[in-house]
Amino acid sequence: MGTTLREIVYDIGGGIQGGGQFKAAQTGGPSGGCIPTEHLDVKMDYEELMKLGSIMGSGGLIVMDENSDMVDVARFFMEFCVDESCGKCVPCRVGTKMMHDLLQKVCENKATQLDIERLEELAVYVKECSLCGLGGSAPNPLLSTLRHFRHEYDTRVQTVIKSENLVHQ
Amino acid sequence: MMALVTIYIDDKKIIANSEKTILEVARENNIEILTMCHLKGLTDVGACRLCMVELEGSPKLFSACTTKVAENMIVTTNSERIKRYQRITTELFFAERNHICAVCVSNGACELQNLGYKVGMEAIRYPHLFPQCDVDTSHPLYVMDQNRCISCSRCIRACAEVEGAYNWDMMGRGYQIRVISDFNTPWGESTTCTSCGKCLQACPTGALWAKSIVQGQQDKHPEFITDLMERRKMKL
Amino acid sequence: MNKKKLATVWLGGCSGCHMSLLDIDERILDVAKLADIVKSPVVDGKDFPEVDIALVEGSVTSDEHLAELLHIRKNTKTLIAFGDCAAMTNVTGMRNYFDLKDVFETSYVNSISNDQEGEVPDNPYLLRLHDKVLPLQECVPVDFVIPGCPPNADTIFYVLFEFLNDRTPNLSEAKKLKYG
Repeated sequence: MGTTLREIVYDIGGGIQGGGQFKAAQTGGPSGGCIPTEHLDVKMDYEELMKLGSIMGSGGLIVMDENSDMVDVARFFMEFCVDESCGKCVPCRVGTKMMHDLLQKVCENKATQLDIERLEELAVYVKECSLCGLGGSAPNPLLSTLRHFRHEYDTRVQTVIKSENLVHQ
Repeated sequence: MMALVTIYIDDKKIIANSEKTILEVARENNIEILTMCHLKGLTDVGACRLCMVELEGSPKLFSACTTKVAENMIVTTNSERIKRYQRITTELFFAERNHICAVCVSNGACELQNLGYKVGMEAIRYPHLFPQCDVDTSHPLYVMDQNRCISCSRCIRACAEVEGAYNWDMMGRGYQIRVISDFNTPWGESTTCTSCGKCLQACPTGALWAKSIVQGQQDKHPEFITDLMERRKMKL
Repeated sequence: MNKKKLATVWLGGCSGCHMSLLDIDERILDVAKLADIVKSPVVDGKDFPEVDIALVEGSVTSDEHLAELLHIRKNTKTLIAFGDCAAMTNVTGMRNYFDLKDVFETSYVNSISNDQEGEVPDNPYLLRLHDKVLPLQECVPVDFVIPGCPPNADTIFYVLFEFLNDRTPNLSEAKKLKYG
């Protein structure tokens, strides 16, 4: 408790494997958030992580270098939440699946600005309206990547929907 | 032990029984709270998340059907945030399965349609999931159409709590949950179903319907379930 | 006062919404006082001109529809999604539960009337169907939606009349929302 992220990654963990650049650390398991480089000196405790939109959660820590695609990271964790959702309440049952499909669209460079707006709206909705903690924390990776890595979403957005994206090749 | 408490719903001062939920108290005082999975007489499960209300002093939202009233509770049911979320929930209901009103037996008498009108939904802003769903027509009298099911579990609760037959249950998880008869066998082969038709009355959409009905002719009476339970309580 | 230009378009739908539009009966004269119908399946016209209001019926099912819709969007001030198909794909979207390949085979090869002689047509001049039928707002920004299958003639007239008089209609407040 209270050790900085930099100490954990570089001193305890021995730095990035292969000599890459630190890009982000994902804390707290699949429903935690991503912490970018500028917050490397954050003290790892409940309150500080909460301020950055992440959680202590299970205590898991995934460190990513510059080759990681943050949208794909968000999609990957959302896939986990889709599988884990029990299906009782609507926000989590439909919301996680919907967010996953939209993130998939962004990953495949098929999304439009409308899809990003939908993602933002759904994420907050699922977080606030879900019945239990799973839905309440499922949008965390999405929300934190939208907050810290917004440009990765924006650069993939298409201005006009393209016909070839809608036809099976 | 019953006690009386004072609560405020949308600035209206109400003296209420502390055993009751926010939803019950609001309905008794003609304050509308939208619901889908709630049916008076059946146990509340808080699954549809339409009845979310704001309680002063907490940033969280609470489902009115499962939250009991307490002294000096200040409830808001009609803030912009609540209205926005109600609309999203409605849109997700429509986007989840294949709700094609034009070909549905319940067209015109559907709780989901009415919900759409109430929240002012002209179109669904989210992409439809378009799942492949089964239609079970094996029962001699009734049909179960998964396309129109909103997984509110009212049929399950009506079957278990009112009829006591336990024919219906939920299978799977996440967006793949399905209401099943017995152990996911055709409804017509069920050994528990008594063909009483209570699930039909409890169903808010056109997912459960009688074969004798054609498109747009559905006439459901879920209040019949409520009435039945009230009479049982009074030992009539 | 300048007359407005009105267009109606028929994409992937059954034309039932256009039938309902005709059901506004003699009130079409009120519309005609305020607008010229410059392009419509019931009016002869070659290219889609610049218009003030376009009523677009049906959903986007093929690349031709998409190209047409993008063209309409560029040339239209107020684009109205007209009917359930345009708003939420409705019956046209019922093929979305299946693979496009299966849909083709069911209609061209396996249907009983084909006597097992049918084959899936493969001509470059035919429409190229999209994998999934999409409602209009998935493809372009839509300014207004009239749901209903078909929408009531009263509702259509109300919306047209409001727009032609430079007001924004509100179906919810007017209690004219209807699906199916």
